[in-house]
Amino acid sequence: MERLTAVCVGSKVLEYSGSMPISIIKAFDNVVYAKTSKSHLLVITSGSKRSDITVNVDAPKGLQNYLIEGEQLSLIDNSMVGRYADIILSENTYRGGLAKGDKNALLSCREELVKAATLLSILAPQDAICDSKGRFFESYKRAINLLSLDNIHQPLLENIGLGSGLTPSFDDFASGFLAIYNNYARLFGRERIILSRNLILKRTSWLSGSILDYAQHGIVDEDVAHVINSISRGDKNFLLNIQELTIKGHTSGVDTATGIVVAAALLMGSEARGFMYDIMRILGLT
Amino acid sequence: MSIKEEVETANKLAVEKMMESNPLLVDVGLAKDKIPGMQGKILLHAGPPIAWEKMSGPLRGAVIGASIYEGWAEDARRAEKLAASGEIRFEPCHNHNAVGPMAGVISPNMPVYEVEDQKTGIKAFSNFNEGLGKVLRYGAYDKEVIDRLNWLGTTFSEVMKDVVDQIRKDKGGLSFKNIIAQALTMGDDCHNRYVAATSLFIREIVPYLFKSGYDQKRIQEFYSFINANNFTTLNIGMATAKAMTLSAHNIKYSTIVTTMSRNGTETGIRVSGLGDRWFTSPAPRIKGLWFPGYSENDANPDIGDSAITETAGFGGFAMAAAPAIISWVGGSASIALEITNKMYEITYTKHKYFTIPSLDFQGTPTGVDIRKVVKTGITPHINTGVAHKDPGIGQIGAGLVVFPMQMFKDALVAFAEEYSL
Repeated sequence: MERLTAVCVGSKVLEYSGSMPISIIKAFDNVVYAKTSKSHLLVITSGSKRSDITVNVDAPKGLQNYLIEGEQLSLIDNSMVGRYADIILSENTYRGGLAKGDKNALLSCREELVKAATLLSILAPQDAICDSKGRFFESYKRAINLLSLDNIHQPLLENIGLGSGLTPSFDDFASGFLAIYNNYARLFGRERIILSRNLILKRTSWLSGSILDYAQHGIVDEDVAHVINSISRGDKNFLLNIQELTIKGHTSGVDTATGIVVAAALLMGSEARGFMYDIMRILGLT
Repeated sequence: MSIKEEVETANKLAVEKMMESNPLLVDVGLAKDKIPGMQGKILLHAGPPIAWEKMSGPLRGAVIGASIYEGWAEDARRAEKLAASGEIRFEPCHNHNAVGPMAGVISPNMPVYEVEDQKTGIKAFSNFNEGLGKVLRYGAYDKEVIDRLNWLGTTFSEVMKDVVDQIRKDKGGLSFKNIIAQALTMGDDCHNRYVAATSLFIREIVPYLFKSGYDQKRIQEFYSFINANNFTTLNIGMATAKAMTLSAHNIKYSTIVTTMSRNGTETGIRVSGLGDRWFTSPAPRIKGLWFPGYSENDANPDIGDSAITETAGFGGFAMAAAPAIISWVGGSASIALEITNKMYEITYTKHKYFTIPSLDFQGTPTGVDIRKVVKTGITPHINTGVAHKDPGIGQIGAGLVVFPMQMFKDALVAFAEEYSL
């Protein structure tokens, strides 16, 4: 039995991992996804990015060597105990969350958002939302063109699951979109948009749907939080944080960032007309 | 065309120009006569711009040595006083289409190689290599160093000029690009290993040496220096690489890196589509092997223009072609392969003419793309010599360096600023 040490534990991990047993549903070299008996997603990673539902561990070898798909983990004392490894949970807790939105800060970011659109456009890997040569590009474009402040729910929900990969591109887009939109909606006189978890899961995988569900409630990885929070602070590091986010996955980071930028542009569009159009044009989505 | 398509088109053009350039060694002369803007009290140095106050030890040492060589100062104390007075203009070699290894200091009366791209007419320059150990480029400046510089500037450069003149008249110039291509298949990486390249160079020049008319003693002295110093052709390789990368520079929308260089305090890059603007980060520490009596604590951070070789698609990027270099810089053959494979992830294409035999003659990773660096989180890896942190000492080892990420991120932000709306 190997003993791994968690260097950081997300604030919701202990709460959720009390729901026994925890099943490993996907295991990769540097990240493992697990499901609690109450259908909460937990993430175990050897990477450094933290979140409220993530356990960051020190692992000398790939995580697949310790945690096997299909096996179940139990919470005993302060450890997650599996067949081949124990993970000793540390007291170092991460509590994420998004900073309170600031309408003026968002409006002051308009030029930065245009630059962000340029960055995303040139960084977009093959099959990302804004890859105009991608297999699903026309479908993404149609869906995103239907988005307006009065029509968000349907275009998002109907296209959940669109794209390929562990988390389809449109799911990542919707995660970024709803994470920032719901943080700002009330400041712009709008209601938050919460898609039904059941309906989400009818259209996409449990894993991808769970990530989207967390995101619409403001529970996101810290690299996503850094982008949204830097907007809320009117922070000059916004573009650097966008770049940091684009590293994630093949297209996941770029797609999530695209969702954030499009939602921000849509919100601003109510007060700064023409902006939404410019951003969509740069992203190639008009 | 979308901006992404503009970028793709520009990058394709940039790397095509880089690979298809045809630089020839065409002349040898004094820096003040060859390099534009070298008049007056000016010293060129490696890396991004830097003021005397912020210069690292080896760069200061080279400035002191060059000032003594030029006759601007009689000794180190006076040279330092002169440097601090503001009387000397310090400018990057790269700003003058020149390159120099390590401290890279080029003074007006130093001899330089002139390389000319036959496709564009672009000229690039580099100084002469002094050999290993206690040399100006590593920050040494004692009498032995100055005497060698004087010898290089007279006895050696006269013969070299004669040979190069003959080659130019005979066939337009010497293609060091061809030598690099061949040397990469003979175990050189053409950054820290120039064993094959220098041997091939000797084969090229010997017939002209015979015809030069110099007496046997002079020829023997000239030949012995080259034969004893495998790095003789490093500087020609660097000037060749500079000409190649200049061909790819200043192409609108291109995200290809056309300069990577270090001054011992900062590391800097320039990007084709962003003109002559430098993006800098603190110079990284080197992981290496140390000469007896020295350790990492004695080492200066990374320094030199020699990363122009990796910028042009060889050097550390072709490390898989040169397993013999690895023991010199403290790695293993598998690390060499790993580094080359990693560099494919951040480059635009595989070189048409520079190939790696152990990878089934696959082209070397060519054209660092700032987009790929940022997206992958992988920065360029190079190999390098290590200078002592104090002026006056010289080389203390060699090793591997990973470039810092921040300057690539800053360049990408600048790109977005330049090309947004």
